[in-house]
Amino acid sequence: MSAGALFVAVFLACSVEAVEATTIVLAAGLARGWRSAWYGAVAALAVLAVTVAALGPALTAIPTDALRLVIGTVLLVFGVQWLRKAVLRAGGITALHDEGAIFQAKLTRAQRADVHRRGTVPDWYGFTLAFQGVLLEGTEVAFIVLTFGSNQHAIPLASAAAGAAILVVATAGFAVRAPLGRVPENALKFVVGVMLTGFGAFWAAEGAGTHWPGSDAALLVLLPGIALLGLLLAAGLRRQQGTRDRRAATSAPSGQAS
Amino acid sequence: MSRRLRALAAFLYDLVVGDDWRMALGLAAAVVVTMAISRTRFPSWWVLPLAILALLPLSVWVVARRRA
Repeated sequence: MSAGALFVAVFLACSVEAVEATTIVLAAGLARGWRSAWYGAVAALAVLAVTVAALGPALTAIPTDALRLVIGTVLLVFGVQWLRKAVLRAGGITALHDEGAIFQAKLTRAQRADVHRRGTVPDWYGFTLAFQGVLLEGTEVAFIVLTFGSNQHAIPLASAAAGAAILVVATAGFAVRAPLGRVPENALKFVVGVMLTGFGAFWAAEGAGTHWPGSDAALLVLLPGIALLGLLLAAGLRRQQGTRDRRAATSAPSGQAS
Repeated sequence: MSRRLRALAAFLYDLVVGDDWRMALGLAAAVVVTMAISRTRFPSWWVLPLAILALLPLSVWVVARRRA
């Protein structure tokens, strides 16, 4: 995997999580004041940076094959779950991720809470809302940085890609002071799910002792193959849903007449 | 302390395994099969793509049927 491909993969995966974290920090800042929201976001980012800095060197010290086996398997399981959710959303089985609705819900709840000062934090609710949001979404960022970075022995590059994603998304979010509803988040999640699944399968198999036909070029077949599978599944679900809706529409008037 | 550890374990389980533990178990089993076959003279690269091809549609189908 080239440095450019690693950067793009981590950047895309982390930008999805950064959109969700930005929504929460925006809601905390607008409803409770920016100082506490910033404190919370920065504190969570510091915890995540320390986690990556502590685990990164430890992971890269593990022999490559063992690391690929374990990290690849975890990434594969994580990636297929991610892809499954994206397919279910694209197929209309579960609701699409609506950043605007999430923002409104967080904002409404945050506006109702009482103000409590703790130490230098003017509003504890705003701090914890931003801290938890960034920490929860950021854990997935740290996970992606550690898995991709350690496998390629390029944790600094993976961290830089994650940092760039956070910077770009946060700057855009705070420039418009609104959730980034125009970001095609569900499509991005589908792409990221395909990448995580493909790289996970590739590394897990290599760690297990497999030699892929064509070596790294196998990814050029594996990734489009997984994407095609996901697209076909989503199309099948949509068609099934359409048939069900038509049946319900045709049976409703006759049901009313009887 | 143990409550926090349990909460951390539950969070990590939800992060990695998610909603469908059977699919996660199936994929982990496929990795073990890959490892076993790769110790023989037969190629083993096809096991994980096949596992994805079988387990992902199965998992999606189960959810779709439940929601129908």
